[in-house]
Amino acid sequence: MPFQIRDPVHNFIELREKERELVNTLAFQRLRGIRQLAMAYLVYPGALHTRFEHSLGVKHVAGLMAENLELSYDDKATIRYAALLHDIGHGPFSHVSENALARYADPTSLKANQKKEKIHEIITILIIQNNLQIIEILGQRTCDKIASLLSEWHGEPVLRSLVSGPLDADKQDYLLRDSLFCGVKYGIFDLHQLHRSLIAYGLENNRDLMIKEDGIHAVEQFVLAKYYLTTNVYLHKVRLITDQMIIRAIILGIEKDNNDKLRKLYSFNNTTDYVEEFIKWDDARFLQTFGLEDNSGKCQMLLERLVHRNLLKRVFTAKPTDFVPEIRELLMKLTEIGSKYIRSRIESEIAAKVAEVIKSDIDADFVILNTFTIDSVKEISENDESSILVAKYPVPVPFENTSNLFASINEAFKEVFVEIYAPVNWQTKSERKQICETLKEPIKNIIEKFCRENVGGEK
Amino acid sequence: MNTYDFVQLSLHALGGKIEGKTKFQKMVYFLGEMTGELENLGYRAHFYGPYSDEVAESISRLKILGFIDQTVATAGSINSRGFEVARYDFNLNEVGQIIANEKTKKYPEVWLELKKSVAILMAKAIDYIKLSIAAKIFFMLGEKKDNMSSIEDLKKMARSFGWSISDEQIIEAADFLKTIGLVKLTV
Repeated sequence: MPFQIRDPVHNFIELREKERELVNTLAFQRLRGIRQLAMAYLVYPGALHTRFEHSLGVKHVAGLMAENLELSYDDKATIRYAALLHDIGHGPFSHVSENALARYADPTSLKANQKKEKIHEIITILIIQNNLQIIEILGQRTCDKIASLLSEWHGEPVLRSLVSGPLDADKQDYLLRDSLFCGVKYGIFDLHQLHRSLIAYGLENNRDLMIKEDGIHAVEQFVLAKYYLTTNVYLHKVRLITDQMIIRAIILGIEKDNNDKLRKLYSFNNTTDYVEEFIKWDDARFLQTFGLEDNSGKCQMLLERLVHRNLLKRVFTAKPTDFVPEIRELLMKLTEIGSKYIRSRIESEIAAKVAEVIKSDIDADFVILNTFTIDSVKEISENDESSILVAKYPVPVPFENTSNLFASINEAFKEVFVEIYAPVNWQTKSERKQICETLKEPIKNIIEKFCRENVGGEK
Repeated sequence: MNTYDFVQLSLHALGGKIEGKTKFQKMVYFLGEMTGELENLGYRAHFYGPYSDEVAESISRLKILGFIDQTVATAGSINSRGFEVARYDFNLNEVGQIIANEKTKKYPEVWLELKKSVAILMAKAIDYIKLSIAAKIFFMLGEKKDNMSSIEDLKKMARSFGWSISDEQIIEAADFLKTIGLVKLTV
């Protein structure tokens, strides 16, 4: 009888012998210490779940999907292994680490085919292909096949789509799991009905994962679940602030505190030595090392604010169309690494203005300019991968053209926001309103002034 | 040149207006090929022809920056269940034109090539369905596109992909590709 684990989302998850061995590796067990939603628990107290149980869930969902499709025994096993290991390269605080990795990675170490991949995905591949415990369990050939499936897959598209695509097992698990642990109902959809709707469709050896014509409603529910969870949980105001505070703490630790240990952690160089060190870190060790032991630095001060939930506050929010036209394109690039000097100058001047308004000194390094996008529900159905396709003869058609519900939604409802977070405190809503209103025009003018000076070339 | 700037200049060169997302994608695809910028635009194979997420994202960015107005037109089309079939029309607005004009100065050579290419494309105006078929055929020709092909070759290729398009449509698409100078045909 297969080994079983009780899971709050899927009830019993069965593990076959090799899957159980993979779960018991040090690299996989580390995922117990990496929270799925970083510090989202500061706004949703139940969001304490980790990459560990999510990875088990993705393995379970991918296994169910693979069983419903006509795949070979070997392919089904590979899918389950790939699903189980797909997040093994995540750093402390999951996706929040990615920002720092992208900033401090050695770009010369990246191969041509790695330039468009996220660094944690490259780390995942390096772990799968080089970790001795994993190789001993699966063999090098299977490890290479899993690595290929998770990166540059040249085999039948349906296999790749099960682990990475608009209908992949990853999304199916995280929507249900994040909803449950956050205590919201936004991400709920009918998993088993969705699976009944799936089909491997296309020419022989070139089939892709699609939905049957009568499965439109199950997919509508799935896409709406993703939209609601994105807008209500993943882009929740406090979640955005905590993510930005962690990122800023890392940057300050490296660039202002000259913390070598922190720099080493994020200076990815594409070597197995680096990866061996990287996978020794999780959220708790990060907070202990850089938030408690390394006292007096700016990184430590910001992490301490996070630990004590003394968060930065949003003092400004606007859309690009609130600004003069000639700076709007630059506005969209302000949080890119190439714009760090202009961003820093804007933040410094805003800090001075905020200090003047609240009549108290504030550290300019703790003022953060952030931009983010809320995609329209139609764009969310496409994600950053291709469209969901409906298996129609002779040529499949995009789901959003087939669904009556989605065809009637105006896809123009996409929004971008420019926000400023600062270390201010207010006691009442009216005090907050007064501070934000006082700052609105001055902050807008500061952003416009610096952007105007820099349109056409970052200085 | 990045995809966003190319899409913006393409729309500007096309007179600031384009009807339908599909037509937008295919027009930019052909303009990319004709100006030598295609490889930077992120096009990849799709069941319904070449498609670029980067081009789609650029259109979306132009909208949120307030440079293009998007209107939904139903053009009177109703699907089998009685729902209107929406078509998205894009219009480079006054602000967008000012920004695009600045870019023509930044990329004078590409702008010149784009204007020439648009003139060729517009002289052979075809609807978006025929444009899509032409784009698909051209994309699937791959390496063969530099060699001489015959109408019969194109028909065979279309059948091998299982497309339900008529011989007339193939001939029309081939003629279009030949006229705009992208393929050499023996017949």
